[in-house]
Amino acid sequence: MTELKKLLLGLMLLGAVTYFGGGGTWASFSAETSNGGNGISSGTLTMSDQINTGGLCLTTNAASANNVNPACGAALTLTNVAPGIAASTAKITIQNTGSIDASKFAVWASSTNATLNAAITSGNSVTSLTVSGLEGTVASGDTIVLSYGANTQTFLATAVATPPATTISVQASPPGPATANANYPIGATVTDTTSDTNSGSTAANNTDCYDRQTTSPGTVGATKGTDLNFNPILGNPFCARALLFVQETTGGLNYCWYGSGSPIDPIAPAVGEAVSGLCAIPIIGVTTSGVLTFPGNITSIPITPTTLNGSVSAGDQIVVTSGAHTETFTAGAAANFLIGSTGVTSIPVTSQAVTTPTFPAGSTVVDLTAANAMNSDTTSTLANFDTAHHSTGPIQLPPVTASGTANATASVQLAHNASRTFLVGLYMPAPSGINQNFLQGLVSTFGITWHIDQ
Amino acid sequence: MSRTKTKRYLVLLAAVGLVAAALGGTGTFASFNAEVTNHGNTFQTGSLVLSNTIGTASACFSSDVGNTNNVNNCGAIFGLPVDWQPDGTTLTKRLTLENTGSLTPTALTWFAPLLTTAGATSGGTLVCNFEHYTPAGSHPYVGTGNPCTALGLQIQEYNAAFTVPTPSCVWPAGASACSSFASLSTLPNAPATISGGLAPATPRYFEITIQYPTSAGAADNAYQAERTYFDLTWHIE
Repeated sequence: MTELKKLLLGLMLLGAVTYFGGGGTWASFSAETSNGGNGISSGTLTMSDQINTGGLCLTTNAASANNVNPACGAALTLTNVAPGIAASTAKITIQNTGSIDASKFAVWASSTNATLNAAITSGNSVTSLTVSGLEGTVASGDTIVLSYGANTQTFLATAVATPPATTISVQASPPGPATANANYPIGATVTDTTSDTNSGSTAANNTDCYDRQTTSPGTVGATKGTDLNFNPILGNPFCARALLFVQETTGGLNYCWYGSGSPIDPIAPAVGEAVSGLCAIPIIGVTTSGVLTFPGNITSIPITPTTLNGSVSAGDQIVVTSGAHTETFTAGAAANFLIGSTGVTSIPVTSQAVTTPTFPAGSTVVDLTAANAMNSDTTSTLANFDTAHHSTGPIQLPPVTASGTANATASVQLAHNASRTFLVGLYMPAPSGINQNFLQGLVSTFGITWHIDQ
Repeated sequence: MSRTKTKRYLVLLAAVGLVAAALGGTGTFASFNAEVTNHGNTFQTGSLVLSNTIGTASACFSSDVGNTNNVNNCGAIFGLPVDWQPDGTTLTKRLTLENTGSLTPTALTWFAPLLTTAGATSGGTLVCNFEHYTPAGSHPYVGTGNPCTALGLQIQEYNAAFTVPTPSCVWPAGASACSSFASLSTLPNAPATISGGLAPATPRYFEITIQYPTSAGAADNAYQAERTYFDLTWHIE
């Protein structure tokens, strides 16, 4: 027992003695009134996680019974990806479903985690944890925290466990035989807290994002990752190359929390958030839907399809190409379009004469600024998200008050009943002149955690 | 301080002590929180693998063991010895290319790598070179002609049965089926696109034909005892 605890218990005893033992000794005259029937009820702080238009994943019904739900569904399950192909995204809506406002709201890369898949009985010896869905590699010596409801127990891993392993060998912490301190049913959370710091492990391999060679091809009958001999997974190379972006879109207001263009770049943070609040995301497969006539001033570029798969910020360089002819325009002030925007029939550009022959419908349209930003980006990677923004280095999410502006001093970051919407996406860059064959046939697996505090 | 106030303070202290004791006295006063994790997101790349089959031989894959960069030096289409003579005849081989990966490449291209003038190794300046040699049992002969300019090449795509040529000619490039030959020395070193790409599991079939020059009488001797080299590279990306 700590000294502080002893002191506080002493104070508690003194107060009790005073109350019960000395109450009638102060005066002969007395008067007293009571206000009976007072009550106080606690509020709730709970949250839901919805992917696109899917069902709600709630903290309140988590199998771990501790308002932590580590098993919400995957937002992104992408196969057969190639460099430079359109970014893929999922919309994630986070709602405070409780009655109390959350003063803090944050997102981070999950620790290596899983859920218990075989119950543990209080008092029994524990030498291993049977888990399902182990996410990330557990290194020998890592600290493993088992949690269910109000009960927790800390173990030390005694061997490496690499996905898809379903068993983590453990001993007590400090080292020694382990005995369960409570009942831990199936669904209890299992977290490798060491994976956030890589302390005592083999560095980058011990992260939440991990690579494997694919065991099924992207298309039926095709070559799969395990057929190849030039795609080693040592060091999780795809995690270190795949780019992540977390783009908020709540109420039509944009903010790039992570990704190319975000001020929260882990390696080379931008000076500030762009006025548009848009992450740089290349538009892929867009063509002109009409003719750009030579000669003539162009103020907008008609495009198809009208649902964008990238973002266009004012000032971006827009390149139109037909055969060997190219023309570069500058996106106009009104051209802030985000991935998923529908009904975008044209990109406004600053007035400019077409200097080369007429561009027919079907000419390709590329946002060169966004493409260059992402294809040359080596920092906004899954691996850097994992190492720079784990549970002890979260990205705080203060409310966005205007596109590109967040109120960092707001006392409430996610009010009760309020929800905030994010586009979370991935892009495999296509850096010019760099062979990326070593990334063929690989699959990266990772988690994203959303957290609110009172 | 009145006794009543003192009593209240002590009661308050007792309450604080009780709460602190319950929390273990560690100074960590937990507040409410909630947390969700989107678990098991995956991002999986596809593959691009090129197989190269000459005639009915076994396929040669870009990903074969020993090639760590998805580039494979497959066997020669026209293997030595080919003792040709200027008689205007032709020699045809069949080649099947298939993308056994899962991704659809943006282009299928081909080109003739540069070779050294002294041998068959790459890194030189010519797409075709030759050297003098002495056939077994033969007396040395040093011809003065350049077979790279004398030998013609044609690449024609066909259907899977090699019975119907496609409407266009790969080499010499043309919109119509092949009807002529171009000398080996004019093979393209820059990648040339074969329209139509190479979608997964959709092989494409080619006949590659060498044409020997017709006889020019005594001048034919200039090509005696010469060994000719050229490479053809097929590429998807």
